[in-house]
This record gives sequence, C-alpha cells and structure tokens, in this order.
Amino acid sequence: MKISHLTDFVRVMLDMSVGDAEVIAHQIDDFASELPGTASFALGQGVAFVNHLVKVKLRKSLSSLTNKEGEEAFRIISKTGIGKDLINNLKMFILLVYGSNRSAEIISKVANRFEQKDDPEINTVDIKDFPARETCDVLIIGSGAGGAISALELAGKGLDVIIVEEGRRFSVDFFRQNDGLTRFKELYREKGATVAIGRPFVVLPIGMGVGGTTLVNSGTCFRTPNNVLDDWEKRAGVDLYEQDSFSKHLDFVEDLIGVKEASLDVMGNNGKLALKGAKALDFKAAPLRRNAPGCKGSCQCAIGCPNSAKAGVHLNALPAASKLGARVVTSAKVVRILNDGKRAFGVKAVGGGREIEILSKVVILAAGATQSPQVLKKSGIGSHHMVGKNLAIHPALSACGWFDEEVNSSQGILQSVGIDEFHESDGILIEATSTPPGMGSMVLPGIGRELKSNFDNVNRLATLGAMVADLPSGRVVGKLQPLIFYQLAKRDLLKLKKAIEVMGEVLFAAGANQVLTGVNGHEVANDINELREIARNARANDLHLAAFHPTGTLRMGLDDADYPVDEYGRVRGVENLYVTDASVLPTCPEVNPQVTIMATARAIASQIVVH
Amino acid sequence: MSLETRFHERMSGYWIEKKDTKKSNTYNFCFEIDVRLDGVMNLFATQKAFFKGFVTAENFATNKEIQGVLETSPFIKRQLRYSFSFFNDEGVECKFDGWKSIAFLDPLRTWTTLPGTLKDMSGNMIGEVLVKFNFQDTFSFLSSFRLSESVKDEDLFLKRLTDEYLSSRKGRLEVWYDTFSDDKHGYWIHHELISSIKGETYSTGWIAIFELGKKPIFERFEDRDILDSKYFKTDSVSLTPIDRIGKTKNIEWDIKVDGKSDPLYTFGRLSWKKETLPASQIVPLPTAKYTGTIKVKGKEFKIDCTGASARIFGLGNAKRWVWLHADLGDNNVVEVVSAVSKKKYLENLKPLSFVKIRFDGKEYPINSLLCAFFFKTEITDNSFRVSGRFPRLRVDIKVSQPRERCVVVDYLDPDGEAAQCINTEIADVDIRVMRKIKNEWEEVFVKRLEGCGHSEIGIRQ
Repeated sequence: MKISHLTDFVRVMLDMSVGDAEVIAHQIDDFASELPGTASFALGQGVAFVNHLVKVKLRKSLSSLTNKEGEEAFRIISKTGIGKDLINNLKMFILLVYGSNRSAEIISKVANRFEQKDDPEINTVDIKDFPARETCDVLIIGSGAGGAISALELAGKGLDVIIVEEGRRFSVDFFRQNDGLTRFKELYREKGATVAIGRPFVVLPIGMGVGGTTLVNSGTCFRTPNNVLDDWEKRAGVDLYEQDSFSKHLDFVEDLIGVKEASLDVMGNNGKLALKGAKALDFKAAPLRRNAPGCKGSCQCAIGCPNSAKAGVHLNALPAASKLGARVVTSAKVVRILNDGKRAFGVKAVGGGREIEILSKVVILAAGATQSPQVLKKSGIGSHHMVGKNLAIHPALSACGWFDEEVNSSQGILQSVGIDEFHESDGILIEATSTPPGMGSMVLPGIGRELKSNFDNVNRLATLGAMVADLPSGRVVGKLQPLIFYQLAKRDLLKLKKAIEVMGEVLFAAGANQVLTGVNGHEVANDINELREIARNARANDLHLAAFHPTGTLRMGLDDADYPVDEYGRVRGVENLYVTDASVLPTCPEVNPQVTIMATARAIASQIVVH
Repeated sequence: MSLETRFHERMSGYWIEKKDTKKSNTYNFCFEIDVRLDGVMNLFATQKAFFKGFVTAENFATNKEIQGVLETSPFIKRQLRYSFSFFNDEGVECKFDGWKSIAFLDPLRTWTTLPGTLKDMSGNMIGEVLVKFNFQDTFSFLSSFRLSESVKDEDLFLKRLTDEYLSSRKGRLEVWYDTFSDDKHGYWIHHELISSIKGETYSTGWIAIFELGKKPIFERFEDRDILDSKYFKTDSVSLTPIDRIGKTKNIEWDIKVDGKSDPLYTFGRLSWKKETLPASQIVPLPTAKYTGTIKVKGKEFKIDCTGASARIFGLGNAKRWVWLHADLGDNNVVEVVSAVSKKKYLENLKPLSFVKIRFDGKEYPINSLLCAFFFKTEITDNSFRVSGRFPRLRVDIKVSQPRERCVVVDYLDPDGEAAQCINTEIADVDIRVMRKIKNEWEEVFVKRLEGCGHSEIGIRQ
C-alpha cells in the first residue's frame, strides 16, 4: 500500500496536518500488514481506488487538494455506490487506529489508579517446551468458555487432562502496560479483523488466548431463556436442556464465575442514561448481571481487564483445573484430530516451529463455532452435511446520542444495562455498551472537520447496542482457512431496523438532542420522527453490523440426518469425540451466551465416562 | 500352530534429560529389539506385536533388557507405536512410550523417526527421546524378516507317537529328557517311547544323579503299559510341560518345571516338523527352572536348579553321536548334537555337527543344518571335540567326560539293534566361539566350564 495515498486519505478524513496524518498512516499500514492476506490486500486496493475515483471525478489528484477541498471531493464520490462503501469501510480502519490513540490516554490513567492483582496460576507450557509425544486421559482443544469448564469437570474426576490452546497466556501485566491497539491486535484472532461475508458484511471479533473469548467479552451473564431451553429440548431433542436439570449447571457456572448485578456505583453515566430513558418510556430495564465482582468501571473489558475484575475463565475455571492437575499447552494450533475413521485417539498440533502429538482416550473439541467445524474437516471426519452450517451470529448494531451534559462513557462499566422490553416479542436485546470510539460497530459520522469535531466531543456521547436473535443464516466453509458467510435474513433485517427505532426512542427519552443512527448516508436524526423515517428506509447494506456470539455450526440433536452432533455432545460416526463449545447450541440463544455455553459444556462433560 | 512374523530392528538417537533447572543434558539413546507378531504382517491393518531386546540410555541405563509392545497401524491410524519397560542402572523401573507418525507425503522421514518420552512408573517425566532408524541398517533390517509357524511351548512336548501316527508308520522313537543341575549335583531324567518295526510300542527311561567325586546314582524304569495322555505317561512316570513325576524301585521324584525362554531348533524347524532328516533334536526349554524333590532310599534331594528340557524324535539312535548342553548363565546356552546316521548310504559320512549358540539374545548360526556340513567332530571314548568354520563363524568346543563321572546306559533301537550311551552332567567343557564382523574376528564367547556340562557320547559295540 502506498503510504502517500493513505496519508492523504487520513489527512482529509481527520482534518489533520500531513505530519500527524503520516504517523497514523504508518500505524494503519503496520496493522494492515499483520492482517490475513485478503484483508490487507483489500485495504491497499481500496485506498488506491479512492485516489483513482478522485482523479476521475475531479481530474485532480487527492494529494493536490487541501483538507477542505478533499472533504468536498469525498462527498462527491460518496454519491456513487462504490465510493460510498469504500469511504465508509476505509474510515473504519482509520477510526480504529485514531480512536485507540485517543483512548490510550484515558486507559493509562486508569491503569495506574488501582493496584495490580496478581494472576492466579495456570499450569501452562509453551509448545516449544512440551514433549513431542505425550499421552493423557482427556484432551481438550481450546481453553475458552466451553473448554475450560470441561477441563474443570473432568480434572475433578481425577482424570489427566491436557488443553491445547492456539493462543498464548496473557497476564494482567500485559493488559496494564500496553496500549489499546496492541491489546486489540494480540487478544483477537486475525487481529480482530474476522469478517463474515454477505450483504452487509459483519465484523466478527473472536478472542484467542488462554481463556478464549472470555478474555475479551463484556462480562454480561444471562441464564438461558426458558423458551430457548424448551425449543432445544423438544425440537432438537436434547434432554440435557431439560429445565430443572440444566438449571443446576447454570447455578454452578454463575457461582463459579461470580455473577452479580452491575453496581450503580461504578456503572457510569452511559448506563444511567439508558436506565433513565427506559424508565421514561416504561420499558423493562435493569442493570446487567455480570461476572465482574470487583469491577472498577475501567471500561476495558474488550481489551482485557486491567483490574482482574472481569472473571474470564483464566481467573477461575482454568486455575482450579490446574490445581487438579490439568495442563495447558499454549501457542499450539491443532491441525488434526488423530483418528482411524471410526475412533478419535488424539491430536497433532503445531507451533513454535515444532509438531507435537498427544494421544488420549477422549478428545473434546471446544475451539469455537467458527473454528471447530474446520478442525473436523481437516481431520477427515467432518463429512456430515450440516458441519459448518446453521451458523447464527446474534448480529448487533449501535446507536449513539449527543447530550448536553458530560457522559464520559469511557469511564464506567462497558456493558452495564439491559433493556429487554422487546426481547420476548421480537428477540431484540438492547444493552448500554460503550466501546471506545472507533473500536466498536458505531462509525462516527462525518468527514474531515465534522468527524474531527465529533471526536473532540465524544465525552458527550452515549452509546447503546442492540442484538437481534437471528435465524441461522450463515455457514463456515473451507478446510485450511475458515471462510464465514452470512446473509442477513429479511426477518432479521426488519428486527434490526426496529432496534434502531427503539434505541433512538430510549436516547431521546433520556434527553439526547441528536441521535447517531449508524445508518450509512443518514447518520444523524434530530428527532424521533426523523429517526423512524431513517430506520424504516434503511437498507441492509447501509448498516454497520458486528456480531460476537457465533453458534450452531456443529449443532447437537436427536436426528442423525440433520444434527452432526448427538444429544450427548458426541460427534456422530466417531467414537470418543465430543464437542463442548458454542457450535453445539442448536439455535441462537437469544442472549449473551457465555453462561449457556459453560453450562452446556458442564452438562456434556459430566456424562463422559473414561475407562 | 499358526503363522508368526519376526524381525529385528535397531533405532538410535538421543535423549534429553529433563531437570528442574533450565539446563538440560543430551545423551545417547539406542535400542535393539526382536519383534514377534502373531500372523502375517499386514500394514493395512492395526496389529499388535510383542518384542524383547536391549536398550542403552547413556547416563541412565546400560544394555538393559526391555520388553514391550509394538502397535503397527501405518495406514489406518497412521502410527507405529513402541512402548516398552525396563530397569535402569539404579534398578528403578521405567517406561518408554513413543510413536512414529506416518505422513504419506514424507515417507522416508516419518517411517524412520521415533520421538518418545521416558517416564517412571508413576508417570513422572524423566526425559524426551528422539531415535531414528539408520539407513545403513536397511539390509539387515529387511533380511531379518521371517515368516514362520509359531509354536506354543506345550505343542513341543506333545507325544508324536500317537496311535494315529503309528497306524501308518513303524520303527520310531521319541524322547523327552531333562537335565538340570545346581552347584553340587546334576540330575537327569530320560523318558523314551519306542515303536519297534514289528509294531510294539513300549516305554523306557532312567533317572540319574551326578555328584563330583562320587559314583552317580542310576535307576531304570520300563513299562509296557503306556497310558492315554497328550504327553508321556505310564503307570509309574508321567510328564507334562510343567511337571515331572515318577517312581522307580528306589527313587521317587516330583518336580515342577518353569521355563520362559525361546526354543532352540538345533536341527532346524523343518526337520522337527516335517521329518526331513532321519532324526531331529530340539530344546523346547533351553533355560528353565526346576523345583521340587527327589527321594533316594529315604535321602531327600531338594531341587532348585536351572536346566534344560530337550526332545528327540526319529527313526532310531544314530550310529555314533555326541550331545552337549552347556548353560553359560544369563540365558546363554550352547547346544551341540553331532551324529552319524545309521541309514545305508549316510553311515559313511563324517558326523554332521549341529551347533546352536544363543548368546546375548542372538542365535548363531542362523541355519544350523547348513553349518553342520562345515563343522567336524572328533570322538574318543571319554571326550569329543566339535570345531570348524563357517564363513562368518568359528567354533571350537572341547568336552571331557571322565568315565567315573558318567553312567553307561544301554538302548535298543526300534529295529532291535543295541547301542550304548555314556552320559554325564558334570563334564568339563571348553568353548570358543568367534564371529567375523567387518573383516575382523570378534570373540563371541570364550569360557571354561568345570564339572557342569551336560553331555553324552553314543556308540555301538
């Protein structure tokens, strides 16, 4: 990518001097070079094409235009479909880097405020120091929500457990001493740039490290809704979701990870405004229940909690499993589950220039809904036609409100309040979520001076997010590198549009004088009627979607023709192989799923008998 | 009887000792095994083979015996797993577990590389191992493959002169004999079944006790009644693979036999199974433990000895013969049978000398029948000497059995001819065996045994 092209783009976008823009351009270039091939290539091409469009439309090169002229040029080329999309998507990269820089200051202030709590010990061994051949009783692929709980359960039965984790161990030091962009790049798979292809495309950040996505989730905990459990039990035929027996596992998980209602003391204004708006409209709303008992409101859940308050599994299940003898091999990517076609008996993993093999009596796959199907396929045992299909992602979008008073949403709980007025009726769950600007799905509107001014006033911006319980409209394909496709269903598009409306209503009711809709081309609504109009006319392609809860790619159920995993969590056709991650959830769980995933993992693991 | 595949493999490399400190030391590691698999080797199936051998882990275990399991499944599971246990230099039991992970796109490396771990019996890691197959060993590895019929020890003791066999053949004899000794005494029990050419079948036998400086105790037993049994059984004496019980006029014995060593096919397998030679001798238990009691006129001999159990089968006794069984300790034995056949045209040949030496788990020569033509045997009244050279083997065995240490036993062949055998278990033996490795003669064994060789000389007047 030509730095000069990118510098010009940034200069115009953020109304900056060439020198400042160049710094940011280099940062973006560094970031892009570490992205998977397709993404960095696309970025480079996109920037070049914008320059090309400017030349075509204005017969002048972008480098010769001033910032003000450049703004106008961008506005002109935004009139074309491709120009609009390009500028919008490239803007996201710039905002990511710029937003990270701006929030770095706030983060560093927080990092020094509270005393560091040392990490509990986990028995980790880097693959470089692990023997090339080893045996154990139970081998678990992935140390996230599902994998960690399975490890705890089976180590508790006295079995020799080894977890193979593709990522590395992140200590609380790492969170406290690094800036947001670095943490973002390291803690997420593919530097956070995983994208589900479709119209619109959906950003799907997936965590990677010891603790999996629980390292970077927002800590929101919901028990599985009864209507979902009912559906899973009756329609999919999975007895372990029977409400009474399953609630015992839910209880265990909530106790283990320390679920409590978010405290108003540390909540921050973002959440309080959400509560205020909901109350004014008489919407059902309450502080969220979270696994963050000692939360200090540092608002960094998505890039690792510096206060060790948000209790990902690296703070509870994994240390407990380690005490019972479980080991975690880190930086080890499983490339094959060893099998003879009928029976799984171990894994082969690579990392650090080495290849290791571990034989075990039972193999548990918990690599996540977007990775687990590929592991099966690479091992030659993913031939069931539903492997990788049935992907539901729980798509989300954001809306923001400008307030007269200071909101300072980057101080307080990142995801603090839940408004579930429309949850039962429409599957819409609204949560007050304040990701640092540029790092979330909200793209601040404007180009140049308008954008810069928005950034300068971001302390008066409150953000809401909405997730929609979707149909399983996606699939994960490919053997070597998983490719995710997701085509938003019509029904779900309508729900998303309604969600924008509802969020706008809440923001206005809370006292916002302007709402940022997040809809491309119609970013600003000055009153509720304008908002409703924008929402009604929004097209799929105009939405900025993100999703954090992929499920269902190895769904479990009774019918062997339609469910690749049986009702006990066993992969059909292969003995001694279980799946205990989000892939087995038959449909979208309609709420933040970490508790559901952990309880499912426990239910499956507790039934595993090893000889 | 079923088929059995055998081969010999050697792998060498290094092992890394895992210590708590950052520093880890790398040492040599190699093992050599004799693998035995039931059935024909099928690389397209999953099979389990057993092996015995030796391992040397520098600074840990020197030339220690190992036994273990090899699971082969190169195409189904894509692995060849070796696991064996052994005692290290300090007497602590350890186990090795490793497997070759077969990748079709890289066969040369993956079929010959074996990473593994060394652990103690409680599962604690001692070190990591990486051994490889040396391509220089390719020829000896491939040529070590054998496909043969596997025989259970019990089968080697089965009576061959059954009614069914004798219905079409006459004129055979069959012998079971045990020779065992401790520091003071040597004991010999001889059981024989004879089917004369006229068709009568009868049994004979004797028991003898030898002691240096004393006259040997000797008593015969004969029975016309042979009782129905898979093995040798008469009214007074019975034999099974695991015990010898009998009673003569003055001597009573009750002995248990426990042997786990591989049989020695002195005359080669084919001659025993298919009667390709006029007679054949095998040693089903070259090193066995004998426990029990022998009572002679009230005096009780407590038996706790090592010895051997051997078998003979054929048309009759040879014209002239000698036999030696020397136990060299540590499961090493030397077995020699030299004989001149009574058959019309063979009787003018020099004695055929069948030599089988088992040393360090290996047998020399591999084909004793072929070598038998190349060794020469010189027999006198009280001694004999077997010597010779076969391309890579040099043998010189001298046996001296002074008459006062022996018993003289008379035999009748199935055709009625008489023969005499002079037996002892307290012979003096001088053994020298050398092997040629890469143009240099290497001593396999040089030893003198005083008063503990089991031998016999057979003659006709």
